[in-house]
Amino acid sequence: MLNISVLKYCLKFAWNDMSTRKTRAALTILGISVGISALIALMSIMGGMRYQIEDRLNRYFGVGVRLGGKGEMEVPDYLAESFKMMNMVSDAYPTISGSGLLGGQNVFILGIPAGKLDDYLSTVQFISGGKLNETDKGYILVSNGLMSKGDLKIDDRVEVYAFSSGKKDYFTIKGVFDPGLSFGNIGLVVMKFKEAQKLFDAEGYASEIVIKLASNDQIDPFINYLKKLLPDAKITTSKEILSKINEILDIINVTLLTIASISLIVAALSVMNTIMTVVRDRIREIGILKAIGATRSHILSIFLGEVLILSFLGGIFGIIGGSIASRLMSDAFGRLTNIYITPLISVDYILAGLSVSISVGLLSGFYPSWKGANIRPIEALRYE
Amino acid sequence: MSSDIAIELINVKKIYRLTEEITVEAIKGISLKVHRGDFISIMGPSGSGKTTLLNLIGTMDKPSSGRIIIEGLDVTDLPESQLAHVRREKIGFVFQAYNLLTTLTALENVMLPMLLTGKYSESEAEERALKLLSLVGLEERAHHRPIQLSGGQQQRVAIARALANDPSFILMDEPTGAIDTITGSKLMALVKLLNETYGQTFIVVTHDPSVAMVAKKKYFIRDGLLYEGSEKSLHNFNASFSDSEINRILQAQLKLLLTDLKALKRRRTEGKISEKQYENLKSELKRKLNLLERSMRIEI
Ligand SMILES: Nc1ncnc2c1ncn2[C@@H]1O[C@H](COP(=O)(O)OP(=O)(O)OP(=O)(O)O)[C@@H](O)[C@H]1O
Ligand SMILES: [Mg+2]
Repeated sequence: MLNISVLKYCLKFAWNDMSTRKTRAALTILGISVGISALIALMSIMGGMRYQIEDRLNRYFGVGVRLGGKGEMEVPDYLAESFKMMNMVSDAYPTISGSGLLGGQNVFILGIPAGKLDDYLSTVQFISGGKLNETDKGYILVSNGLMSKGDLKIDDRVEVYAFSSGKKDYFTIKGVFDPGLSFGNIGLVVMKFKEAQKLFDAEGYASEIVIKLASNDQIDPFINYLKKLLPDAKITTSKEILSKINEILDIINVTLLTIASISLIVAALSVMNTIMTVVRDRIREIGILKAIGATRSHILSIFLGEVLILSFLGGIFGIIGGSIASRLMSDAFGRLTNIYITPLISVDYILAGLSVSISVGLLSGFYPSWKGANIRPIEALRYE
Repeated sequence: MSSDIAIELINVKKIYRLTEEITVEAIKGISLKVHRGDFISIMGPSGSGKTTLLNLIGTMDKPSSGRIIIEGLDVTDLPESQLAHVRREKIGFVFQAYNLLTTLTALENVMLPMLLTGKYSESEAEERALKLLSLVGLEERAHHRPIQLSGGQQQRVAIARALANDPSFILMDEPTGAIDTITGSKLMALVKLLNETYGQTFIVVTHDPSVAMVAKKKYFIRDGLLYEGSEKSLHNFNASFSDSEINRILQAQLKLLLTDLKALKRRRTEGKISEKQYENLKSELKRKLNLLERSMRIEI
């Protein structure tokens, strides 16, 4: 019954009606687009955040596995050398870490073989002085926050105390770096692995062994192998941490989307209101159409056609608005907190935005359209 | 097409129920037979039940009792979806207030009923609509919106629209009510000509005697009851048309019939209608062509 040329007329009716009542149409489109904007902005910021966290974690871990013991320092350090000899392992090195004091300040002490700091903490940036090399003895690197708090200078000789062993020793500051990550208020001290072992009184042991694998798909087989070899060891990979973080992000996501749906409900009510007014304004037209033999489905198509145009345009503007809003929000957020999140706009979000706006439009427009299509012809014609 | 009765009312009553106790008996039992090719007028004062009766005949409203039969089909108890079909195929409406769709052009207003049937392609509908508009003398106004047309012109577009699906009969409710006397009598002359030369059935209700006089058969309605009037009619009423105008209208009708024949042949070759339906529709067109030919011989 509904052939193409009739559908064309239905859309034409809808379009003509909208162009004769521009303000009303514009306000409805605005209503829908605000809801969709909120949705798109939240989705893209959350998406950007997830991506960034993943990216950082991956950079932090590399294609690797970290092997630790149950306690603080109980992994034999020779394991690093043994792992290195395996084919699938591209590199392996031990680290040892614990807390202590430097000149009376609480610090976190990291012992690491020369040249591995960049790999271990990818966020580190050197500010001044030199890095630690193979032959250095009695030297440390100090984080910039601690330098200014302790009023320290390069080449100062300072006392470092380790809590776990109760031992202390003197070191010379060779360089200053920015850790890039916040360790709370605690400063970070980096020294050679062997010297840290001595300070912590843990010769022959490491806190962690960092194992780099040649490729990503070797992670799972390697972990299985490790689990068999060392059942008590604590094995951490970026994947695992990511899934934990994603769980938390999901909770935040749901909360934010709930808030966005409230704005969508407002948009839906506005569509409903508009279509009700459209129906009321066009009752006479319905009567004429019925007199010339239009069926209920013809009339339904006219109103739903209008809903379709309104919600499609609302969706498009919402997607554009949402992308702009997320850019502005992340800029403002970045300026305030120094954390820059690049919002992620993907085809998925655009499709989601459009389908949400169209289904909200159709759902809320259906009832008033149905009522309009069911008005009895003489009632419709008598209406002035 | 078995009988030549376009519409039959059998003891039709309509009671409006305002509250539990208060009811208005608008139609108190009317029986009526309208033959194909008839041109009847129903005259009556305001409130006598004219619009109510027309709405019942036009299947826009249901009677409280009695039967309504359109071309042999009892439509009294049909559901709305089938009534829409009956209105689309069998009935043309012309209202006092023109009731054109304001967002469409004159051409589109005439095309729409044809497109709703699904029988015509868009180009066929457009071709027929143009012919119909030239029939009512408005070919040059095809692309005008209703607000750009005078009342008389709008009413002529409404007549073209009513003719669009070649209905069994056309119902006119006070067609000249909103236009001046001269334009009104020209409009009625057109209706008369369409009836005489084209065999189109018309039922006109009005309170205006000069409009009612044009009809071949006159009825009166008073307090919901119908009375038959005299057979006499004003024979030289179409004097308000010049010979060339009449010629133009006849030519337009001829062209329209030829277009219809073409569309009919297309539908047969596309298998949209059976051979039997085709023969029936063709003989119907032939009948109209003969009628037209006869009046052309008389007029020219
Ligand atoms: N929907 C309705 N509800 C109740 N009463 C109605 C309704 N429609 C018409 N009536 C009554 O039915 C009677 C006939 O009305 P109708 O409209 O058919 O008259 P009419 O002859 O067309 O009058 P007019 O020349 O003024 O158009 C009137 O008494 C009117 O009040
Ligand atoms: Mg009336």
